Amino acid sequence: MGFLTEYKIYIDATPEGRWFKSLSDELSDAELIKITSDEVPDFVDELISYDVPDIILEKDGEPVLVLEKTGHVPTGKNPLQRVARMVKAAENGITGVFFVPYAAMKHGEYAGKCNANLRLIESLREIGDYHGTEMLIPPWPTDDNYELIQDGSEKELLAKFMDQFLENGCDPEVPAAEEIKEKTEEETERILEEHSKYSEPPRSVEIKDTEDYLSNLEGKASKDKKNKLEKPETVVATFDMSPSSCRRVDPYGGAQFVYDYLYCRDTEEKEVTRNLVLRIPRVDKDTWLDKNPYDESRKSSLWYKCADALELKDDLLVNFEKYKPQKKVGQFE
Amino acid sequence: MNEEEIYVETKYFLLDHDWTPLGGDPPKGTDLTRIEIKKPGEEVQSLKKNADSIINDLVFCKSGKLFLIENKPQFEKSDVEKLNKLVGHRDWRESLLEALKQRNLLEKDSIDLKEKGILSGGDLVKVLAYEGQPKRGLENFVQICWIENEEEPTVKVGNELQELPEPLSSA
Repeated sequence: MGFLTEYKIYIDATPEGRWFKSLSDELSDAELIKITSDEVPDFVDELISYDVPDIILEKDGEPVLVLEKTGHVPTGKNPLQRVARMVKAAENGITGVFFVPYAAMKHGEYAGKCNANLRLIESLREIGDYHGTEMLIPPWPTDDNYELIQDGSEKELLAKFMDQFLENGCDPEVPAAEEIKEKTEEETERILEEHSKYSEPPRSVEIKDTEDYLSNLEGKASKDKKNKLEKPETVVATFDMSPSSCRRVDPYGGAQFVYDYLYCRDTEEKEVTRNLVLRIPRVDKDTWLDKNPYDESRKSSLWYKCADALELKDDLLVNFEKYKPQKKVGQFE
Repeated sequence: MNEEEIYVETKYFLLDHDWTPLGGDPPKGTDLTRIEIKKPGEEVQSLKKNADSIINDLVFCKSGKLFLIENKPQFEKSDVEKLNKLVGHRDWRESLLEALKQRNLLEKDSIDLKEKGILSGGDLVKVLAYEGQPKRGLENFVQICWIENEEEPTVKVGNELQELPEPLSSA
């Protein structure tokens, strides 16, 4: 008697769960389980520890795929919010899929065709390559007017991949994955041709000589703090939030991971080559820690996950662990 | 059943009968694109969701008719009022037409919608989807009523409505 494969699909929202199930007949009997349910296995808790992805696929008790789906026009910083979810998948060696339009029509006051933020695409590729996992970015197709196709045909390539992936024992080395990567490459070239600015960091990101950077900190940091920036170069990413608006993680949260993987790491050597400083120049330390505590149950904890330092209006924060909520005296483990 | 489930079940109920989805706004997550119908009189559509605009939970079309669907776990009178406002006032119908045009939906070969029918309201159908039994008195509405664990809903088509395509034919 053969061993029957059992799939479970952990979902953030039911519509996406049903949609994901429709990608392959192999998943027709899979149970849909809310990610927020009390009975999820430990690996789900791990995979959602940075942020919650749309789909986690389990096969016979093991996670095999994390998927994120977005139909939002993927321009500007907004889509970068979702990157943290894929980082956690890659860190755990899980195949990642990010289903997103590479170009789409933006409606409203500034209506027009918008391209995907190429740094989103490039960083996802780097994340996959750095951790040696597959990170696929299949395009959500659009029509001649750049409106998202939603008649069912939009998922054909992704469905093809899912069929092959599942048939291949959840190994992503399948022809459809190569097809997806070719499309990603084509679209990347197209976007770069239309917007050459993407070949450089955005204006909010500077790559500086570390000594020069530290010498201009105007007394914000002691020598001990300065010593924490060990690499000769430092990537300084500025988030120009006001004190009253700095509590929001949207739309900035996630961008730090993009800059980390694009500018601070050598993917081939698999090593970190630059320091990463997140600069929030208009917010002082007390306000920042009040509105963005290092609380693992909140998204604000993402600010502390990949940076080496946070430069605020009046201080340089390092050694972030000390900013986690302290247990009261007498509290038991 | 919660609102997510009503949304999903209603959507697939119509898809299984070859209806064409045009838009949707699930309680959570990414699904169909949202069709935002601006409040009449607004000159420029803002980038952010307008608090006074109307976004239907599901928008489908079939046989030249546009179905504007509101989903809730239970029947809510506010959905009746919302759909009456949208369909019952010329200026709102003009806004609806504008929203459809912005998405080039009237130009698609697969979608048989006519500008005249939308402006007059003659091709607009108001639909309520919820868990429970159909309510009386909603003679110009379609009610798609779900019972948990039953595969098919009860469909009640108001007496004032003309013959509609399957599966929304009269019970």
